[in-house]
Amino acid sequence: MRRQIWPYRRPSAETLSADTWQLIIDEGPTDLPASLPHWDYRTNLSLSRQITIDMDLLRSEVRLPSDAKVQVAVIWTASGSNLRQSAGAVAIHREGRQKADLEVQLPGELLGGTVTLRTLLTVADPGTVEDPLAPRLSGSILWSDEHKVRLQGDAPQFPIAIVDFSRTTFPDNASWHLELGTQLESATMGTLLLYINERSKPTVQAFQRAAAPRAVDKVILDAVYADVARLMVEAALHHPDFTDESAFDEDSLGETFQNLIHSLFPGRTVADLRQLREHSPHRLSTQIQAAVGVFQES
Amino acid sequence: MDLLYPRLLPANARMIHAELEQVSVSDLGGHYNLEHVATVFTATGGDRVSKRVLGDLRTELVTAARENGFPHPPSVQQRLSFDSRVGPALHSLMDMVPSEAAAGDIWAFMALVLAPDVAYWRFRRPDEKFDSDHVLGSDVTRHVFARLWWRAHLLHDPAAGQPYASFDVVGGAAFDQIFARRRALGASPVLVKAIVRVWASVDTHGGNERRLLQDFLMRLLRLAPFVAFESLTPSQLDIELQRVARDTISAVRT
Repeated sequence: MRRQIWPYRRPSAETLSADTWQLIIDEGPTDLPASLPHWDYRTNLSLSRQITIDMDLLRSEVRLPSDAKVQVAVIWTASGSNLRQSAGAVAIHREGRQKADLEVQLPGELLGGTVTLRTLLTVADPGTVEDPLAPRLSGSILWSDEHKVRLQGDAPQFPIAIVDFSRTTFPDNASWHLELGTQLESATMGTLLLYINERSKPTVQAFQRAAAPRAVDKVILDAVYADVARLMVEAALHHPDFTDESAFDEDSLGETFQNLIHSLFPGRTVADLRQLREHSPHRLSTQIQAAVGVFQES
Repeated sequence: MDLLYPRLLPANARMIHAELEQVSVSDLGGHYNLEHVATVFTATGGDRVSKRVLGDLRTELVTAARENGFPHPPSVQQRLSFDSRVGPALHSLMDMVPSEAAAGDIWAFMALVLAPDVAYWRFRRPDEKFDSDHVLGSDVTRHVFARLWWRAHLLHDPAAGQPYASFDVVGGAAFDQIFARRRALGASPVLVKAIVRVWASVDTHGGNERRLLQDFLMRLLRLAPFVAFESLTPSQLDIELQRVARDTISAVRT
């Protein structure tokens, strides 16, 4: 596990407390959910939360000089657009126990994918620094936390396109095709795409009814899922840079592979699975089928 | 109004690229189209772009290329001049949200279907292997049009009288170095603008600019885990970056 060594003193957990994020909607504030299924680019996100800081404790623990200024800032990152921006900051001017009311609006046209909201207590101005262990750069991070919200719900987490296969290089009568990139560090949303053949009406209907599938839809969805899982696991194990020690960026293809393997084979190592693939690929395929739970009653 | 653009399926993009590689730039003008059967649109988020807008975009791209020597191989100056015109033009005409612009398959359509003559003309070199990233959707930081759209997006200031005035403050090669560090630095328009602003004002004392910029960016990458650049005001950010730039210059000179 990577551990960050900070080049200056940081406050203890007692210095600060943070309320949960609230989503502001017409009916009033509500706890920000983990996903917003009905969001689209034209919807801005209005959010609020309160942070309470013991400024006296903060100054003594971090050894901030009396003329140093701090602020609470919110910075968002959107995996869909690959953009990162500030959503605003609140300066803390007074001493004693202070409350910072954060109210931010995130512009929908810049978002997409998973939005990571990072709340940070930062040094706005380090002041006249004398202590060698005090932060000396503007922007130095004293504390932060993260909250993720997935936009557009569950279905688009896995990019899907419905297309007539006769217009493509895929066989006309195939029902689906998984397009998978080879760059582990690439964004999953840009390198992974499941094509459904428009001509295969049962498959199209199964995906259209995915939220409330009939028995026949469930069989088709199970078959597609098992096939996709097998292709992804095999692609991951085939890649020489994919190891137990690999660290991948969030929402990268490598991270998606890791999450899939951990959910299908909890406790198993990549090295173990790779060995199985080399010596007994059919057994690996069967184990993936069992892990996915294909055709099993839910 | 946000527009959705056609996405060319990757397998078809690779096939079209293989075919077009065999065609001369002057003949590629006959291979363009405003649509392709192997394209898909995302379901929601805007209106599908019209053929009229696609036609206008093609006209703009071809005009910019012709004014810079097309179909004859462009000089360095002509390539820079083409980029300077096309980046802001694409960004202002395409009316596209960043999440759409992050999809490589849209750019594959632009380069391989809408304007293949212009795309190959810009990067084809005699006796050099053509890098397919320039036309496929594999890497938006290297794509002939995507890199220009993103450069315009990250550097433009909608509130300014001339929103794209920063586009040419540093050269394309320098910007590509910043943009290549996409996640840590290039994702943040505020930081990219500041890097460009500060770097343009640095006196490199005749040193190797490419190497100096590499060092400068490496120092910023080292600071990124500890410093929330986006939390700073533009003037605070300039002060911090100027300090780092001074460290770069003095480290390289000693």
